[in-house]
Amino acid sequence: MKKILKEFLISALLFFGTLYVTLQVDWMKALHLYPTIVGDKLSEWVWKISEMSLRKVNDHDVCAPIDSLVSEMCKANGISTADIHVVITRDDEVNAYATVGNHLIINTALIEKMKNESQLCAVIAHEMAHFRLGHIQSAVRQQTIITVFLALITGNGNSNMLANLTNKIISNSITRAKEDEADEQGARYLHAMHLDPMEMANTLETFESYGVLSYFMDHSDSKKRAEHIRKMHFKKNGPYQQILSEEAWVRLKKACL
Amino acid sequence: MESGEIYINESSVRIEDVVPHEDEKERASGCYIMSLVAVMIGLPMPIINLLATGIFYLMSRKGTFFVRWNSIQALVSQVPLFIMNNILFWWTIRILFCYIDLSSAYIAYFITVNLYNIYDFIETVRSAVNTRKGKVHKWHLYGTITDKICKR
Repeated sequence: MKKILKEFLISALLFFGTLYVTLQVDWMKALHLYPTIVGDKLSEWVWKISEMSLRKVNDHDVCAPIDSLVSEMCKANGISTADIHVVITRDDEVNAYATVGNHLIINTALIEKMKNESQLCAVIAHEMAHFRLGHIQSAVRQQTIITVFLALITGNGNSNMLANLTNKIISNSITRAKEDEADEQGARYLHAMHLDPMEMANTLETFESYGVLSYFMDHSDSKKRAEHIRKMHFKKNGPYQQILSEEAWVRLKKACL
Repeated sequence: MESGEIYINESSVRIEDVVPHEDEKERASGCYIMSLVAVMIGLPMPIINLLATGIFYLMSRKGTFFVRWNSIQALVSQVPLFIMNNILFWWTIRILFCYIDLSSAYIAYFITVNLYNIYDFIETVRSAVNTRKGKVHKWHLYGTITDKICKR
């Protein structure tokens, strides 16, 4: 028994000694790594897979006005524009969603359905609030796991099914409470950029009328959420502004048809 | 001399004194080869090689002293490896999917455990070769533990 104990001590000493020595090196610095490198690289990879299935719109008439709205919102709310990557996609589904790598996807069908720029801003504000409130992080983890798993099983990292499924996971994993929180924060964003915050409620009610194809079909009871926004109080902050010219708005809508 | 017969009734016999039969050498060597193959197939799931050696031990339980001793040594040597690799495995999973930050501590542990894995791999190969030749290769600590566990 003494021999076992002695040999055990030698082994433990060797193991922990090696561990102690290796712990003395700042490997992160030596290997030029940073703490979030793995998560960032995985997100990048998942985004690349999702990106392949998107039909990106590069039309200036679409991108320029959306960029103006987003940068105006970021400026008014102290958000760095570099943190949000807006991608407009040609898609018949009335939808917009936040996904990995702070990418905000807006479908052309959604832009087409919006009655005015404030409603479009309301949707963007809602998604931006998800980013800012950290709602996407846990969903992104789930999306990453499922994407990696499916890609390994199917051996096909390029399938539409894969990308759609993983994006749906994000939508479905955001709870009702988080949706309410994002609505509230979104309304505050609108207010800060001198747009009518009640447009958030109007937009929610509009989605209700789209039925099954509704942008909020994964999120329950838009009517109640609209009521919740209407109960919020905002200080008067002057006349509401018009960010895009009438002409630019019409051109945007036309380009999305 | 017919080997493997003269010590049958001696309970205090040492493994070094056993002269195994040809088939015993083959079976005993198989214990180590089994764990090597399991390491290759089972990566990155560290439970696989422990399971493989465990199953091989159960199969060899009623075998001769030489076979039993080697299968126990192979099994015992996998236990610490299983614990270390498991910690590394779940730590890696957490970094990959739970967005735990990569740290110098993780890399230090990764290097240490891998060094241990390399040592284990070399020792396993040496054991497999020596056992096939009929010699006993006693590992540091595991050999002594096996001596305590495995009686004739």
